[in-house]
Amino acid sequence: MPADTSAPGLQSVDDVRDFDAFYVAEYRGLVRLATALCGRVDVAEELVQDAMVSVLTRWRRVREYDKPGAFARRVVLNAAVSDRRRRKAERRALERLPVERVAWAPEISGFWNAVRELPARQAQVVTLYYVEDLSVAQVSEVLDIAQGTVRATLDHARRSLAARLRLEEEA
Amino acid sequence: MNDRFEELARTAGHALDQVDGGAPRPATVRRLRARRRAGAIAGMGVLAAATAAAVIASRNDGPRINTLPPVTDPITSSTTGASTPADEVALLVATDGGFARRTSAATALVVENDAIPVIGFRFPDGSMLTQVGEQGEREDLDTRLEWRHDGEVEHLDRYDGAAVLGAGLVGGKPAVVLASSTQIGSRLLVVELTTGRERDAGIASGGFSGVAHADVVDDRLFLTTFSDCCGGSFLFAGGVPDVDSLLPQRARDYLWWVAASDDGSEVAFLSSTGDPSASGTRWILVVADLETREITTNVEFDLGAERATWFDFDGRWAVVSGGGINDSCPACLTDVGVIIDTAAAAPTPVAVPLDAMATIDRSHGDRSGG
Repeated sequence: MPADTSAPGLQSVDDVRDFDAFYVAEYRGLVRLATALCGRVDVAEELVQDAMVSVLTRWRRVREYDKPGAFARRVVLNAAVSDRRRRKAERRALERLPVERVAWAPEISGFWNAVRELPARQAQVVTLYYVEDLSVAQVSEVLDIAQGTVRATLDHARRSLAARLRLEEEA
Repeated sequence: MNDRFEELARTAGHALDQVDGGAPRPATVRRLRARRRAGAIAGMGVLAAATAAAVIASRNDGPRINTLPPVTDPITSSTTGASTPADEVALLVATDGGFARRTSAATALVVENDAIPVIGFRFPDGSMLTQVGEQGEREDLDTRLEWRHDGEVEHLDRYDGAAVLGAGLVGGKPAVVLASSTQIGSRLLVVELTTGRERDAGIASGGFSGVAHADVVDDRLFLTTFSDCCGGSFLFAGGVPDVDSLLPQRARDYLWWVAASDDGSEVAFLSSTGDPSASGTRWILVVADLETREITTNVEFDLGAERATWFDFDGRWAVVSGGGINDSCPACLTDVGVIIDTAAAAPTPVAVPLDAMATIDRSHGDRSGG
């Protein structure tokens, strides 16, 4: 089947191939990120699909970036935070329905539940740092903020999480 | 930082490794484009749900429907395997080039548009309201409304990004029901297009939240909401802003889509027992006479693997648009819709490949565009 190049952002068969390769390479990592922030795999998949649509529409520009994956991560992280806000009311009504959730040990679930209670920026930094194993410099690159800001945000997040999880350092 | 915390954080981070999200869905361009169309409207529902909460004073007068039909015993039950287009209803659909008028025989281009078409409404006077999207700097599709009448195109900039919940007539003139958390500040408004007059639908913070869908006919607003406190769904109708409850009790099903007949004598709504925003949901179409309170149609159907993206009803035809991605057939783009002739002796869902969100074209044969 010939490649469909009619979408905005795609003008050649090479564009389509490049985007498909990008999609396959980044998909799982993006779903993991989104899952950490929204707590549901099905919602995470939706967010990643939406993010990919966003990337697709501006693919010719994004492909020229040094790290297109970083752009996609930023889109997913922002979408996950926005989704958390806008779906709050809807979720309350729908959460009575059986949905497939990730089966984690209680302490793992507790950790990510606590992360999701953090301010948005802190949650994003923690997710990138601990899920993606990114360095402070890499987190700074993805979120487009200063490394010092990343360090400070991470420090605040750690302290807040430790307190919530009752893992404060013994005096 | 302490070791116990670091160990837990690292373990929690690596626990995400078990999440692979399944196999990457094939990233064919067609499927992503279809998703963008379907997602645009789904997103509107979410926006409305998150931002609008209803303060609605229920009154004991006025017409009510006091019972919901049983879910397990519909009058007619049918799958959507057939693919016979209805012959008598003309639909307005989004196409690659803009908006088109579609019948079983042909599709005639009505409006060309460089932007991404989302949904269009054509009114009896031939005027047309369209919502289109643009690529913007923001991650989300930026949408705007265009009002085409008397050979002119009026951009309704004030409502950029607003969610369109329905369109109809107020005093015989075209009107649209909008919700927005940005441009008009978390309000549900009925906007009369010919005059620009806005009327607040009485939606504010309160015990009910999440307006899912709305319609307006002859100064009566119809809307579905779900309760923030107790998880039920509610159907309301009435004058603006005093909206009465049609189903005052908490419904055990989700009432998600609603539309009134063009003459305002009937209300039609879709209910589901499962997640109304999910794909594969089983729906029941209910049509009720507002004067006699009798339920005149009760039809069960589904959209296969698709999710409902729009619903329209003119008093006879009920049109449900579906959209999304068919995971069972990665190479397929199967935007399926359902048309039901509620005037038939035994109303039967007929599947049609709509490939877009469809509304009933009410311009009565005028193909020239507004």
